[in-house]
Amino acid sequence: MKTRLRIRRQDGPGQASRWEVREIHHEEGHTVLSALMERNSEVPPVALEASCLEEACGSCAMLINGRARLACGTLLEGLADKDGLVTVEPLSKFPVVRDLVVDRGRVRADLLHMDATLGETRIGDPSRVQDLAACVACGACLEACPNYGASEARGVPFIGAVVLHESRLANLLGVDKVDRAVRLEALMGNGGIADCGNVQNCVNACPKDIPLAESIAELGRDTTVHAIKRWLFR
Amino acid sequence: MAAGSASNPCRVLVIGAGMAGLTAALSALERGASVVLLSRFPATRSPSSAFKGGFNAAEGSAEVEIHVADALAHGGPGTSEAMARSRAQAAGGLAEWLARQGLPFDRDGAGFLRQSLPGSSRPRTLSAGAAFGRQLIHALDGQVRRFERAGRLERADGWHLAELILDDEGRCRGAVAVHLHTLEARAFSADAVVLAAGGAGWLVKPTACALDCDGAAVGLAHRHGARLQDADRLAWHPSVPGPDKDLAVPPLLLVQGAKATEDTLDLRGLGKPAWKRWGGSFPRLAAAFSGKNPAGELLPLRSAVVGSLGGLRVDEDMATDLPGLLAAGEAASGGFGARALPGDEALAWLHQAQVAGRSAAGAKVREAEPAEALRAQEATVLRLRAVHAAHGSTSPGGLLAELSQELTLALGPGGSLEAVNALEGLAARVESDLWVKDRSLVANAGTLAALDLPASLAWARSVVATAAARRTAPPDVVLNAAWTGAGPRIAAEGVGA
Ligand code: SF4
Ligand code: FES
Repeated sequence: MKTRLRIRRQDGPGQASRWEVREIHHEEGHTVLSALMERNSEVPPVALEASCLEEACGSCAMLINGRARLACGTLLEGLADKDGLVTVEPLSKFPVVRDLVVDRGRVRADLLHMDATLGETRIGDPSRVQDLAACVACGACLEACPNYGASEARGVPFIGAVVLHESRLANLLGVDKVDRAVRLEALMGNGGIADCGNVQNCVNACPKDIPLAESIAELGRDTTVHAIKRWLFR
Repeated sequence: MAAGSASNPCRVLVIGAGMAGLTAALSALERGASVVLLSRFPATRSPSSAFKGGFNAAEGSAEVEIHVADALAHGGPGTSEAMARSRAQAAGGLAEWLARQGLPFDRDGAGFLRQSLPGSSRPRTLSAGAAFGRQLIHALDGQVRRFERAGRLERADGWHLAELILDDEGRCRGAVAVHLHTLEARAFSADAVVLAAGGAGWLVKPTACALDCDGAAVGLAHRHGARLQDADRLAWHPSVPGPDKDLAVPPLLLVQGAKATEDTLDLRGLGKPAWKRWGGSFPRLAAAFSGKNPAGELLPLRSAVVGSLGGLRVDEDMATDLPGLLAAGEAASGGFGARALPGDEALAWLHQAQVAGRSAAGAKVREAEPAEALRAQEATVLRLRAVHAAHGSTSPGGLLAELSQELTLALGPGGSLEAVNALEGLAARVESDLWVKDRSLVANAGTLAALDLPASLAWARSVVATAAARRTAPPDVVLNAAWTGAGPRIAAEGVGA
């Protein structure tokens, strides 16, 4: 089989990008990532991030035909548009380092800032916690969000669905009440939960079926209760 | 102890942020040390996140002895009884510790759910759904973040290990790493170094390992004098072929009733809920890669490498033969013998990591010697320049592919030992025939691969020599022995290099 891959390339941070079209020969069962790696015997190779090659590590998230997907699990078959092209681009919400490599470091900084940390934990319903902890930090939910990376309403950028979700999970697992209060305060601050527009694009974008809408709704309730208590016991 | 107080002036450098690196870091932090956690990628992207299965934890001393006996019987001659016992004894406490860190173990009423993996005469394998590694990384990463927030731990994500810092007495005092995005070289000085950078499973085909399991860090330590133990021994597991690598069948899916023969996998006997609970994304990906519908058809199956059983030789404190360097996880030898008792791999990695973190936190503190760190940093910069100035004819990727081919011949099903000579030739070509065509200073994976090549070759030559000394074909390549009922072949006594 033959497919034409249209790749957005960029040599370094802040530089202009350009399109490159390559014809790829592939077999049944081959993925967008296989095609890109095969191309890599040429020079210069397409810079990309990949490791597990089985949708477990979140490294290889990229825009495939405009949608954030894990390239290692996305079959080439049936992807081509009417002109026979499959379009591959870096995620658009993060600074491009080179070609398809972006810097997603902001997500980790936001997790730290929101104190989405664990300390002493409680034992929850294991399969429930397992489902919630299955996030691979790919950033697809952030890519799909109209508020993430948009103009900063209150001077601080919105943290986005994955950080909200991890904060909720930290609340669920953590025992310490003070920790929880600190976290809720941070979430009520600029860039926090109030900046979520409830568009819910994130839910459909997530490759791991993380219940993001449910997490955000729960955090919404928890921050409201926290605000009322804070006002009452002031 | 409060997370914010560094009560111990010892500075520990942990290399690798997978399950072993995170555990070693937490273990050192719990003992008051401060930690730099250096890794190519953030913890959440580590190959550990794709680890399936679970880990063995027997309850009570009688059960622990049965566990040890199972491990010895399964590993055959060359299995380290001391290591098998020390991890079996530590397993219960380790499980409790992991549960406290937030790992959602599957439960059976009030206690842990215990399942029986092949080779075990008792149910003793603990699990956390289909993606044990992902769950483990999530919990440990959340704990590490707490220390990071308190200023006790510095994360150095995106740094590729390039060189070890040695003082005048030959003691390891840190490492120099090159940044993945900028190719900047930076020295990380420390009082003790824990190498937890994973195994070499990517190099032998077919493999179900992650791309980053290239053994380069172990090779570097070996080049500086740390000896290897059983490094030719690999773990093989039933896997479905994929386009770039194979998909290991989740062990618990097999325990729950998926049927494996030497070349087919049958998921039909299991309901969809079991597919999801014990298989995670495996059934869907295996269907996509094979073009078969597992609800009605058999999937193709073969043996693929899922990890290294051997690695750096360690003593009971996880010290390697290179003073100042400790090792843990897949980078260290597990003393498994010819095959690891299923469920003992993760137990060994985590147990060793706890011990290594403890040893590291007890290291002697000394004034920093910037001279030796600068020396190593300069040497790395010079090597980077040399790599870009080389004018040979073969790309680093090409040389690595040849290396992988020879290793596959030597350690794979064929067990051919002609690779010894071929590797000599390759080593010479790394010196004379390298050509890095892409000389960009931004996110240049080829340059980093070229930096690693001498160490990878030193490692490969030792490993193949060990395999040759053993003079017997690798044992568990007899397809899927433990899982399909085929009789295992047990190799001779363990050999070091
Ligand atoms: S929540 Fe889903 S989409 Fe968002 S980072 Fe996690 S896995 Fe990716
Ligand atoms: S390479 Fe790990 S998710 Fe694609």
